[in-house]
Amino acid sequence: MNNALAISTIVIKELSRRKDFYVLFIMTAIITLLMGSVNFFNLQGISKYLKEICLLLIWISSLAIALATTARQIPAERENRTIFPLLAKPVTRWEVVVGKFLGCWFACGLALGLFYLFFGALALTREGQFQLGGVFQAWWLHWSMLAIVVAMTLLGSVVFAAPSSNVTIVFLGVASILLLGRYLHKIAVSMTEPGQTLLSICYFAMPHLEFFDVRDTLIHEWSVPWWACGVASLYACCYTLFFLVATWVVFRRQALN
Amino acid sequence: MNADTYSGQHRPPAAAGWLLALLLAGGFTLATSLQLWFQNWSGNRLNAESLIDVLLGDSRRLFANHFFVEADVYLHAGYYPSIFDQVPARGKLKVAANDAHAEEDEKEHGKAGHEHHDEKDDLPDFMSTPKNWIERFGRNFYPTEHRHMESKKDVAEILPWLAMSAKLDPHRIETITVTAFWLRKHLGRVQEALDLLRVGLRDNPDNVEIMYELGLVYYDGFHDTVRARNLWEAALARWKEHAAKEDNPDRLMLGKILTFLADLEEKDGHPDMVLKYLEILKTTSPFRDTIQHRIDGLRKAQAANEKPSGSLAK
Amino acid sequence: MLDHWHDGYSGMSTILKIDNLRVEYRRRELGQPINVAVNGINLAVETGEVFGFLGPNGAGKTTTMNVLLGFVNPTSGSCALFGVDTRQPIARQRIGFLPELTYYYKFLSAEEILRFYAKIFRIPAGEVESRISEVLKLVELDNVRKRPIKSYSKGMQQRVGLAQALINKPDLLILDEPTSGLDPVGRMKVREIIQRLKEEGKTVFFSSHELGEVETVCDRVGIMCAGQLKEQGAVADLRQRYQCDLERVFLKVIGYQPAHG
Repeated sequence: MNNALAISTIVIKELSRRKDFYVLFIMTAIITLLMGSVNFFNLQGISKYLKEICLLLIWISSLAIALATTARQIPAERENRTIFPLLAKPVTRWEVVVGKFLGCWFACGLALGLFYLFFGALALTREGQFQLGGVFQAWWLHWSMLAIVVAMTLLGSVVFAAPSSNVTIVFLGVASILLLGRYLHKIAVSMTEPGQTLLSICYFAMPHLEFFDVRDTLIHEWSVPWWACGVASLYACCYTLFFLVATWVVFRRQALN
Repeated sequence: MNADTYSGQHRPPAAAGWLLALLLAGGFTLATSLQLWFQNWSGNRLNAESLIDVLLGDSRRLFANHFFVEADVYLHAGYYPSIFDQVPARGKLKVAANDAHAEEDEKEHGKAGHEHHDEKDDLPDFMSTPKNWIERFGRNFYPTEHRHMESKKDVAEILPWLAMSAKLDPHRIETITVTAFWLRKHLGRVQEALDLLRVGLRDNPDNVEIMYELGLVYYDGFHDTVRARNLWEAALARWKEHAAKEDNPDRLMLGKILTFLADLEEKDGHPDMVLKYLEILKTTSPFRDTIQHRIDGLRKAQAANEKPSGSLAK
Repeated sequence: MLDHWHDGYSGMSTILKIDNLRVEYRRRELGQPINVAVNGINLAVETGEVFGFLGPNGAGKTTTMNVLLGFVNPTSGSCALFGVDTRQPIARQRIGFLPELTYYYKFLSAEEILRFYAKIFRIPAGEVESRISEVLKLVELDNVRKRPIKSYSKGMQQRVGLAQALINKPDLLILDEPTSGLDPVGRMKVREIIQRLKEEGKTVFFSSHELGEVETVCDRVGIMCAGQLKEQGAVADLRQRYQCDLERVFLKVIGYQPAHG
């Protein structure tokens, strides 16, 4: 674990020294503030549309950060050959995989924390109140979902040759799950065999990332039960572990030369 | 020596310079001819008022539609069916704002009997029993309860979406009329509703629905019955013009216009005009009996009023 | 912890042992023959030795080193460092490795990269800073320790590589062409460092094409060709046996035929 944590600090340092996060954060802030300055029929105190736009930008930015950071980790180590001095130390490949995962996930969590702080400040200034519990739940569930996404991308990075193809494939997968995951079994019902069975298998096997998208509940002030948050976190843990083990199984067999 | 060799090796050959000059000249020549074509191009760009319109192109209609639906989602506090939900009579969903509009008409003009006012609940319960644990568990993370946002503040929250929808597609009549309705009826922003409808009418000249809604703004918001009557009469005339060209004219709109005109004339004490409008209404409405009943009542009252004057004449 | 194991009769302890090592690479294209990179080599390096690993390009030196470092798994045979199979990460606890070209995280400074590796080796927190200063002084980078590595010259980067290889006070140093691409001053500095390590009693296993350098620094050499270890022995013995300098010995062993006589 010591080695994995050491590797993770390098990943966090890398992200903090790159411009990606800052650009995305500034863009999110500028777009949100610009939208906030628009006058709609001289009405005062409108905030939900702004929360919606801000959360959408946060989701897009977080996926961009998670995918771009994770997809290049192992391929860049191999391409720049930094993997050699690293693995020449008493470090296992499992520790490399876990370290890379933790680094990317922690970095995403920190970035996400800043984004949600901005969101909270926005809500506070527009509404005069801060849904601490709701915002915390949204951040936590979002971060839990990113754990699955980061682990999926790590697996992709040892399977696919180029980081760009990995990013594209994982992004399409994540976007499809977020948009269609909830309805896949309903679509399956209207299909003929073997499509119906295949789609049903996909529905039950894939990670349901839409569980972690609580934007509607946050915007419209519904509440998510805390026990459900806990179960969703466990669910994220299971899938993350599965993808990490799969990454290790593929990575440990790969010759580095 | 070294310096000479270096500069000799790396100095761009004269041909490259000539090529660059040629490319530059070519670029300028092309620009002068393209500029003319660009100015005279009769595509949508000429109609576009902003950079966003140019950038989005026809996809802005798609966004306009999405934002319109988003307003409806907000009105139901996020509880809304997707295209994959099995909703009975999906056509009825439309925008809740429309239905609320209809409710208003019913309250005010129910006596004329409008065929579209049977939609008491605008959003049927589309959530059936969950089929599996994923669906059951997933329902903890999104709104699953039918709730209407009715406070002034909540209603105001739908307006940014409607405004953006109207901005992106100025020819989307439904957005304009629905936005004007919420501004006028629930938020008391009559002037804003008027401004929006005027812009809407400028973009869509002779549009019956906008004229009708404008009439309502003058009638309900400014209590200006003269302008309201003028607008509704103009709307009626346009409707007739359109009906002559269309296979399936909007009889619902005709019913609304006629009802309001009839009411206006009744208030102003012009029973002949009321009867004229109700007779037309009778031919288009499925609630003929109700309308006939009203016509009979009016005729009776008219006859009762005429008798004494008749005897005097004798 | 791990101790050097004794070979039983010479009285010296063997720090690195390769037994009948064979490494094959399967080609991705179907129907292509298997490429045998290393074909049954046996080698032992004793404590305190400086061992030169020689061979022309493609001889199998780097593959052998990759097996020693656990980057590649042997097809058959075994490799052990301090008596532990090289597939076990703990085998690398007491080694330092300098790759042929320096590949480090360019966004870090020399100090940060050394701190990172110190953490990997679990060097006690109280000792880390003094260790970093010590190795940076040794490689003469103490004055630029806070500058990012991307701003270093090639020679400086190579010295960062040496510093990271020394951070854990290794008993065995594996250097893959440590002077490759360096200017004469840089080469001299690296050579001096190796010499100093030798005087400190460290074991050094290094590959090089600079035969003059090998002759100066090494106690023993091994010459590989076409995946096989063709010759090994003390530098002086080989010179005596072949009656020529190391360069000619090397050319004879690999079977080089000069074009003109």
